[in-house]
Amino acid sequence: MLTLPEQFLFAVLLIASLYYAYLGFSEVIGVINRGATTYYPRTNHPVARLRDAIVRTITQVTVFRDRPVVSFFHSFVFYGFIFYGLVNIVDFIEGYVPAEVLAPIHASIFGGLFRLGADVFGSLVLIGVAYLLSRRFAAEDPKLEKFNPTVLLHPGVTAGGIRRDSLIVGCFILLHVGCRMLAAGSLLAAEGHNDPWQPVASLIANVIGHAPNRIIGWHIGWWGALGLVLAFLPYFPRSKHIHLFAAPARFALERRHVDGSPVPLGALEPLDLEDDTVEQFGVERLEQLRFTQLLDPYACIQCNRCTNACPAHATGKALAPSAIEINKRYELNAIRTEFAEKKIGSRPVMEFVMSESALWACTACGACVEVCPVGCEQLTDIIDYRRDAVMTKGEFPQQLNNAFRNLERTSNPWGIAQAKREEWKNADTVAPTVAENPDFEVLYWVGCAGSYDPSAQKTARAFAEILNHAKVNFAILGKSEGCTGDPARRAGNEYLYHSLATGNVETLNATLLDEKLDPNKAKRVVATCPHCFNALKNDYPQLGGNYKVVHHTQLIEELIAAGELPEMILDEKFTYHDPCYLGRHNGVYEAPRSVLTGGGKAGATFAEMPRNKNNSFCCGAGGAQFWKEEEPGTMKVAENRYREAEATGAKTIAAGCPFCKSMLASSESAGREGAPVIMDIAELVAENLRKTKAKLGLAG
Amino acid sequence: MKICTVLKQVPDAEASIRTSGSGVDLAGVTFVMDGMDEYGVEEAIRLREAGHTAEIFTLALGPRRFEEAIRTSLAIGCDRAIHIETDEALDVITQARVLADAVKKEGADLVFVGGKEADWDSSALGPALAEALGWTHLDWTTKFVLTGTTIEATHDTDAGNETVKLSLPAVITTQQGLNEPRYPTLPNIMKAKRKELRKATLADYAAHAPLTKIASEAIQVKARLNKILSGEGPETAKQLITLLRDEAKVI
Repeated sequence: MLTLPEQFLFAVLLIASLYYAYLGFSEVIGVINRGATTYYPRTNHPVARLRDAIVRTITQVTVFRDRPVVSFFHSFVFYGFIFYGLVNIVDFIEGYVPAEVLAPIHASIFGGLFRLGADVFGSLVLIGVAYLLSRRFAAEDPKLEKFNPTVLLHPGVTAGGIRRDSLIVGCFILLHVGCRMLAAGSLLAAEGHNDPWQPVASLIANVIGHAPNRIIGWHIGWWGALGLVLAFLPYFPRSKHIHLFAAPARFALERRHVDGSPVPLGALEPLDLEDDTVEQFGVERLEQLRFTQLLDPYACIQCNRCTNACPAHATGKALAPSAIEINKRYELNAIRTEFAEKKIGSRPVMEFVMSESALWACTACGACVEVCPVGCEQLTDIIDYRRDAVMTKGEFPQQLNNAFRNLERTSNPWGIAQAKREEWKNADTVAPTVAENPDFEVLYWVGCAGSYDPSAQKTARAFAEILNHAKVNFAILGKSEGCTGDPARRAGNEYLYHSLATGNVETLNATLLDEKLDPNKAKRVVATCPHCFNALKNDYPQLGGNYKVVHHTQLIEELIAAGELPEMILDEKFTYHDPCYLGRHNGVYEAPRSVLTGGGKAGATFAEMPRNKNNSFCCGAGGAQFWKEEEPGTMKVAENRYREAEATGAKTIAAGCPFCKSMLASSESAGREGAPVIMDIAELVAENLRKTKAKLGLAG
Repeated sequence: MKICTVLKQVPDAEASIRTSGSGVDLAGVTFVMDGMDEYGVEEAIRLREAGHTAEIFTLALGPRRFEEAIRTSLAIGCDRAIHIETDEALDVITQARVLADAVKKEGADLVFVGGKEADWDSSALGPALAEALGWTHLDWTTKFVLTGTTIEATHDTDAGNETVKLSLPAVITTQQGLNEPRYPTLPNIMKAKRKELRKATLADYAAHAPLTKIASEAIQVKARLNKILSGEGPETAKQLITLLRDEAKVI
C-alpha cells in the first residue's frame, strides 16, 4: 500500500490526468462529429457489429494479413496490453488497500494465475516493443517511413513527427511495463522470497538482492508504472497510439447494407444531385468528409502497409495512401480545438493531404483499403477529392475532358457512334438483341470495350460462341446499351455517371424485371467486363436497379459443371491476373481459377503470381487511368505487373477484364518477341472448345 | 464591354448522317455545341478571367433544340442568352443579317463565332456577319490578346500564319488551337438553369427573308472497287504499290 501522502498525491494527479484526457478525447469526438452521415448504414445491427469488431480485434486477423513477423511481435504487445488493463487496476487497488486485506486473494489460485499473467505478458510486451523500436530506429525498415520523394507530406511529418511519436509511445510502454516489473521484483525482494508464479520478477528480486528496504523499489516502480499512465492519458488523443480505441470503433462502424451484410469494396457513396442550391460537390475541406473519414486518421497507426501495396507508389508516383490519413491527422492535431468547436474549417485538402498528381495517380484498385489492418477507406477520400476537382472546380487532366465528352455524346468513352455498337459481331456471330429474342434467359452486357475495342471484341465474340455452344438462351441490348458510367464515376464525375446510369437502370428494369420490379424474379445479366459487372452489381442498386449479376467466368464455371462445356486443358504454362474490380472489389477469385485449371487439375501448368487474389497488383487501367496519361513515376503500372507475370514462366497470361488485357498487352515488355501473350478466359475457353470439337471430329 | 458569342448546335462528329426524301434525316442524332463555336465561348470567358470587365451573351439562331447547346454556353460561363428560334433553314447571308441586327440592338463590341461551323461547312458566317455590321474581322484565329480596344491576334494562312492588329468593334472567327475549352462544373450547370435565356423570333429583326432556298439534298456515296489481290505477300505488296501509284495516283 502507498503512504497516505502518496495516496493523496496520486488521487490529485489522477483527477488532473483524467480531466485533460477528457478534454483531449472530447476534441477527437468533436472532430469526428463534424463529419457528414453516410449512405450505407454504420450503426444498424449493433450486436453483430460489436461482436465482429471484438472478434476482429482479439484475433488480430486484419493485422496478420500482411507482415507476419511484425504482426507476431505486435500481438505480444497487444495481448500484453489487454492483460495490463487488469494489471493496472489491480496495482491501483494495491496502492490504496492494505496488503493484509488482499493477501487471501493473492494466496488463491486466481492470485497466482494473475501474477503469472502479469509476469509473462509483461515480458512479452517488453520483447515486442523492443523488437518494434529496433525495427524503426536501429534497422530503419524502409517500409515504415520511406515515401517517394514526390509525395506531399504535412510539415509535422517532415519535421520527424512520426519518429517522435513512435519514440514516445515506445518509451512509455518500455518504462511503464519495466517499472511494473521492477515493482513486482522489489516487492519479492522486500518480502525476502521468490514466487514460482513470477519467474521474471523472481529473477529481478535475485539480481537486486533480498532485503526489507527494497520496498522503496516497489514505490518507485508503482509510481513509474501508474504515474506514466497518468502522464500518457492526455497525450493519447495527440498520438497515433489512439488507434487502440479508434481501430475497434472503425471496425464496428464499417459499411453494411440494411440487412447487415457487408458492402463490397466496389460500392461508392452516392451524392445528392437533385438539390440545385448545393454549390459544393465532393470534398474540398476536411469538414465536408463523412464522419468515418474523420475517424480514419485516428484509427490509422501509420504503418504504411497501404502505401507498400499501392500500385501508384510502387511505380514511383506521388501517391501514398497512408499519407492521406497521416496528413489529415497532423492537420487535425494542429487545428483540433477550434475545429472541434466548429469555429473554423480546415484548409483545402489539396494544400496538405495530397498533390494533384497523387490525386490523379490512383487506379481505384482498392489495394490500400483491402490491406489496411484498421479498416480505413483511403479510396473513398480520393474519389471525394476528385468529385470536388471535376464537378466543383473543373480542374482535372485534360485527356479526361475527351473521355467525358465522348461519354456524354456517344455513351462510350471511345467516342465511337452508338449506331456502331453491334459491330463487334462478325458475319457468323449469333447474338440476338432483346427485341429479336424477347424470351431470353440471360442478358449479355457486352460493355463499351466489348463493343468497340478490337481486342475486347474478340472476347465478346468468343463468349457469344461459348453461350451458343452451351445452348444458353441469351440476348444483348445492342444499341440500347450505354456505358455504365464507371469511368466517369471513378474519375469523380458523379453527374455524368448519374445521367448514364439512370438511363441504363431504366432500360434494365424494363428488360430484366417484371412489372413489380421484383429483384428475386430478375433475369440474370452477365458481363465480360468487371467494371460493368461492378457497376451493375454495386452502383445500380443505389439508383433502384437490383439485378442478378454474374461475371462471364462465373457463368462459364457453371456451364462446365453442368457438362455443357468441356473442361479446360491448357498444355503450356499459364498464369492468371486478378482484375481488381472482379477480385478485390467483389471477391470473385475462385471461378476464373476453377475454369482455367479444369477444376484444379492443371497442377504445375498453372503458376500463381506472387501477388494474387486480394493482394493482386493492378494493371494500371482503373479509376479512369485508361483514359489519361499515367502520372509521372519511375515505371508504368502495367509494366510492373507484366514482369511479375512473365517471371512465373507462363506462356499465357489469362485475364478476365478487357482493360487488364489491353494494359498488359501494351506494356513495354509485352512487345518483345516470344513474350507471354495475354488472352481473356473466354478466348481460352472458346479455343479449348474448338480443339475438343476437332478431336471428336465434330464440325465447326 | 459587351462580348457576343454566336453559336450553333450541330450533329456530333460521330453521328451517322442519313438522307430521307429530299433532306437530311436527323432522327436519333446526338447534337452538340459546334466545336469551333466553343473556342469562341471559351475565349470570351478567358477574357473576363484575365481582368476585362465584360458582359458575355450567347446569340443563337436556329430551332428549339438549340436550347441545349445554349445552356452549355451558359454553364461554361456566359451571362445570358438570346435564342432567335426558327425552324427555317436560312442561307448564311440571311443568317448574318439577322444576327447583325441582334448584335447592334444589344450593343456588343466584340463577336466570337466559329471559323467553320459543322452544319454547312461554309466558313462564311463570320465574314458575312462582319460585312453586315460594317466591322473589321479576323478569321481562323489561333491567338488572341486584347489590350484596351486593341486586338493583337494571330491567324492561319495557307502558307503559315500572320499576326495582325485591329481595333474594336470586331468579329473574330475561332478554331482549334486558340484554347482548350473547359468542362463545365456542376454548380455552373445548376446556375445555368436559372440564367436568362430570352426567346426571340425572326420577326423581331430586320432583313430575315431568305435569299436562297434548298430544293433538295443528297449524300454522295462512293462505291468501293472491292478489288482483292491474290498471291504471296511480297508479290501482292508490289502489285498494291503499282495500283496505288499508277491507277489511284495517291502515292
